[in-house]
Amino acid sequence: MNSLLQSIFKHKPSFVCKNTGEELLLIPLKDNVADFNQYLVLNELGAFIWNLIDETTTIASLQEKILQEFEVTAEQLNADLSVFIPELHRYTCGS
Amino acid sequence: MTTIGSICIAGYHFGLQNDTNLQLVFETGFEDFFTSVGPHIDRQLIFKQGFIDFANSTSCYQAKANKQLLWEIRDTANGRWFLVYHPETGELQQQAQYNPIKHTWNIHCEAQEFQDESVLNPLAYPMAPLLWYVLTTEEPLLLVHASGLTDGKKGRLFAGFSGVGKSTMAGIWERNGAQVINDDRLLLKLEADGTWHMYNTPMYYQASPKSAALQHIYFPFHSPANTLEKLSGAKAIAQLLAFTIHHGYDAQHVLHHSNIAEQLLQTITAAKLGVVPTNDIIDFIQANEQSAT
Repeated sequence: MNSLLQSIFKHKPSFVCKNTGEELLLIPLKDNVADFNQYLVLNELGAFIWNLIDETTTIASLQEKILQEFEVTAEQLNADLSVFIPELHRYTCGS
Repeated sequence: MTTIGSICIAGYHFGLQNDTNLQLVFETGFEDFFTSVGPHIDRQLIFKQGFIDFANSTSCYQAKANKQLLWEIRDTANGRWFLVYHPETGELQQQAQYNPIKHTWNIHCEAQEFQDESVLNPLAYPMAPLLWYVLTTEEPLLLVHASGLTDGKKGRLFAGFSGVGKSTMAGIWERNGAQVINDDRLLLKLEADGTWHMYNTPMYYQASPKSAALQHIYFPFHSPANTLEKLSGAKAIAQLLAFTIHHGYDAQHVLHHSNIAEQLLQTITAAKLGVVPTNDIIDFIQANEQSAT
């Protein structure tokens, strides 16, 4: 999972991020063209995770910060992250 | 150097300055957009004869349509240049440089023969739409692929790719008394009073300048029954931007257009519209708009 986070971080510059309040709109830039048909909408928690991901982020540090900010159990968070991070990786990295 | 007037597009005045001894010619669609030089010029266009040699520069962005190169950007020692090509032959047609501080374009092109006279045609397609596009990266504007029309009370926009029924919708409304602003390309502008208006731009055919206040945006698609799904939030923004004309050579432009779309959707409703192309769609739309108020 930590390698997925690092891979997502490397691809973050390929996206334009538009904050719409409770949601974050990710617009991919492919060959310098913004592809609005391939956009992704992240909810508040998804946006929080996206904004946290940098070159030092690990699953453990992510879990710690989310548990400080959101009312969620560690078990539920682990289950959600095990689905969300691979999905976000597939979207951002195309694999 | 001669100032010969201006072109007014969506309320923005483009001053025309001829830096040559040649006559200028423009495509038919410009005819009704010419105005005399007013007290205020928003963008100055300076026309020059002849091309500059960019042999040692490299292309950093290319805009294509159906694999045909329409224009490209070259970053040179002399700044950023747009090289614009004939849409069919691919021959170099204009070289243009924009100064965003002075809001001035220098547009170079070669002389051509027209009615036994040597002339310049400096805004030949696709140069002019490029000017409108760059304007949208700096102003509260969106350039959209859409049909726009007004029934005198409300302005509606039908946005989508070719084949989804934009022109069909425009035809149905027109036969029922509505005025079509344009059925292909429109500028959406935030006015000083906070309202949004849609404007036509010069096309390849003659058409007078038209505009109307905008209240509703629809994204039509063919459907076995008339249906409507309201859109809001990030999805509405992305849906609208999918039908704007945009070039991602600068991520700040994408963000600017996203901000403008967000601002527009705070007052203009947006919905996906399943369409059966008969007159019933008019009653269906009006009934939905009425029930929403």
